[in-house]
Amino acid sequence: MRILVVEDFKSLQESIAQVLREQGYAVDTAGDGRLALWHLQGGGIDVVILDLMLPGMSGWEVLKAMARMKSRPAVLVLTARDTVEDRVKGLDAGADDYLTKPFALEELLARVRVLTRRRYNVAGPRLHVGPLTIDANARRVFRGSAEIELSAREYAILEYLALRRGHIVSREDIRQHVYCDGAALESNVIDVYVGMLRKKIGDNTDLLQTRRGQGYILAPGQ
Amino acid sequence: MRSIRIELMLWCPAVIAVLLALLGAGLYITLRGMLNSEFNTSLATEASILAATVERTPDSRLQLESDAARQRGRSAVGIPQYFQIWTDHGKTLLRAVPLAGHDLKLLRPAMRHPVISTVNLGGRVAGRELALRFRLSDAAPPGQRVGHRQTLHTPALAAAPATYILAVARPTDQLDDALTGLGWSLVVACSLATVISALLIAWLLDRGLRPIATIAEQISCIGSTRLSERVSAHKAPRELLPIVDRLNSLLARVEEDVAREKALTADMAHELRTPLAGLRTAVEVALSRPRPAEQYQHTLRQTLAIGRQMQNLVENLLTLARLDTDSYQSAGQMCRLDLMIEDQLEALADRLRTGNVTLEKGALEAATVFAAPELIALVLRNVLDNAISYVNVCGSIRVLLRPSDAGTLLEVANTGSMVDRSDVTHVFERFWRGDTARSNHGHHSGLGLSIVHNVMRRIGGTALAQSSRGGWFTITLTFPEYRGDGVHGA
Repeated sequence: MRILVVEDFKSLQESIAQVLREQGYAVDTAGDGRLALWHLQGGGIDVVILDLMLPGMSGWEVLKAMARMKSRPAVLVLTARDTVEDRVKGLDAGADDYLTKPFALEELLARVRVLTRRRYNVAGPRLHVGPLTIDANARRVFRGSAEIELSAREYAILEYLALRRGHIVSREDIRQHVYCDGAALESNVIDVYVGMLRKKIGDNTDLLQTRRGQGYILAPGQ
Repeated sequence: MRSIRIELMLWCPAVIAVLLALLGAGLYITLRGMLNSEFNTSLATEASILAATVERTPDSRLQLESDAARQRGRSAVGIPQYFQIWTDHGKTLLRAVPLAGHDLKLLRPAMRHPVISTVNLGGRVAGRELALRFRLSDAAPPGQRVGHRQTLHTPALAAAPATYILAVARPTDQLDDALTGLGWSLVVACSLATVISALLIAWLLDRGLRPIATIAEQISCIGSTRLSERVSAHKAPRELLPIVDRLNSLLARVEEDVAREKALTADMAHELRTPLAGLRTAVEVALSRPRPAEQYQHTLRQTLAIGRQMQNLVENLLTLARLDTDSYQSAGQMCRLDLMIEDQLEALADRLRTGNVTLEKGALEAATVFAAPELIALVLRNVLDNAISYVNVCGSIRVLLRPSDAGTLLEVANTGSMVDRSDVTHVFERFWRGDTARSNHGHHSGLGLSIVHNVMRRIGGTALAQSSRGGWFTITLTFPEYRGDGVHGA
């Protein structure tokens, strides 16, 4: 999942980005509204964590600009403005959720998880794909009752494929949603990760298929 | 607490009752006087008439012509009436028939000065008697006698006295009854008038005070969330319009102040919550898993920087609060502005060198201002810190100090300003920060120039900001001229 953190208070922006990266999210950062819009226009963002009082272009203006986008990511407004009027105004302007500063880190991560699931129309925190169960809250994967040990990157690729199960996901899609912007990738690094993932989940039933020239598909029962 | 309604309800009827009582008493006294006077006049007239009819006959008797009514003991208008004639020695010569041997009270009036006295006319009948002294006239010739009158004769007198005393009396019961009736009528009329006036006053008060109740109800509906509402003067009497107008003006001012306070509170919340969130998140992230020592050190440096920023913010807020409440108690004294500027620049020399900034100041002219040294230092520190914070790398800062007609002018200008000309008027507002300030790692809270503006106003000076082409941003401070009497000049 790719998260854009838009916050002008540098140390807060760095801390949020760090913890999200440690959780396996691909994270982009922006210190003002214009840079945030530039990231959004590049596409691939799943969730935006957006401060409202920004230099250059306020969070309200970013929300307004996002309303005109074709594929609009989920927006979590993170602001010091805590009045009911502000919350209502933010939600009416297109925000999907609203969190006031200061906040508990666990709550921020939980809200990001909810917004991610909502973006891919997943009802609960557990994803079931064939014999696999992915617990998005605990970030753990089970085959039957046996837990599969995955690295953060492997988990992120599997979770993204699971969220888009039944659809072919291109390598570029995976790169956009799982890797941080600007990360230099070897051409076959995603193939290598998918190969390791396939081994770890014990896939001998074509659960995770490769479509030549198109990408990958997690398709139970096909 | 005083109540207009209760006071008017108590005082107005009481005053009206007193006035009506006085009026009634006056009327009663006047009428009683008139009736008594009329009664006495009537008695006097009767006595004069009777005296005029007394004659001495040739056989030394007295003769009195009296009509039948008088002999029966009634006046001409039917009121019981008695008379009696004495010699000046007090010997009864003649009395009215109805006296039946009883005497009237012998009074001794002087000639032409009748005497009046209250008497008892037998039984419980109170009466009034008028006595006069008279001389006899000779009997008129029989041909001149008028009417059919009965003649009363006294016994023959041995020696004729010089004067006689005639008393006429009438009972006063009818007069007393009339006066009693009049008195009671006046009491009842006054009481009724008092009651009616009290009711009328109550009704008028209720009608007159109703608009006040309506206005009070409107005011009670205006709460902190409905400050935009105003009190309506519709149907209010003209006398209440000034109060309604002043009240609405007050509400407008309160609304403005509350809006300003809300904005200030929101800004303060933002400025405090954001670094607090940064602090908490940095610590939570550091504690979320075991990390190398360098990462913990990075987190500590981060939290220390945030702590310093919050300390700066809180100190600035306290300074502003003290300035607002005039609790910044410092005695004014003569301050050498040029020397104080040099001191401040020396303290900031390292930052100037770090930014490779050129300082254009030349030799500052000696200038003296009268103010608290702490306040002047506060102004200089903030205005110079602002210039150094926003000057571009390798840019310039210009400091000029010169006298002017308005006082002493201090200009502090820096290059590299991104403040738009349209935003210049906002630079002295609390928490206002230009975009460059916001993106400047959050070290400035937007209070420094607000403090400068506040202090300058407090010491009677002014602060102006200008943004010109070429990125020059100038703050011009005018310190008032000191006249030497503890009062600032211009």
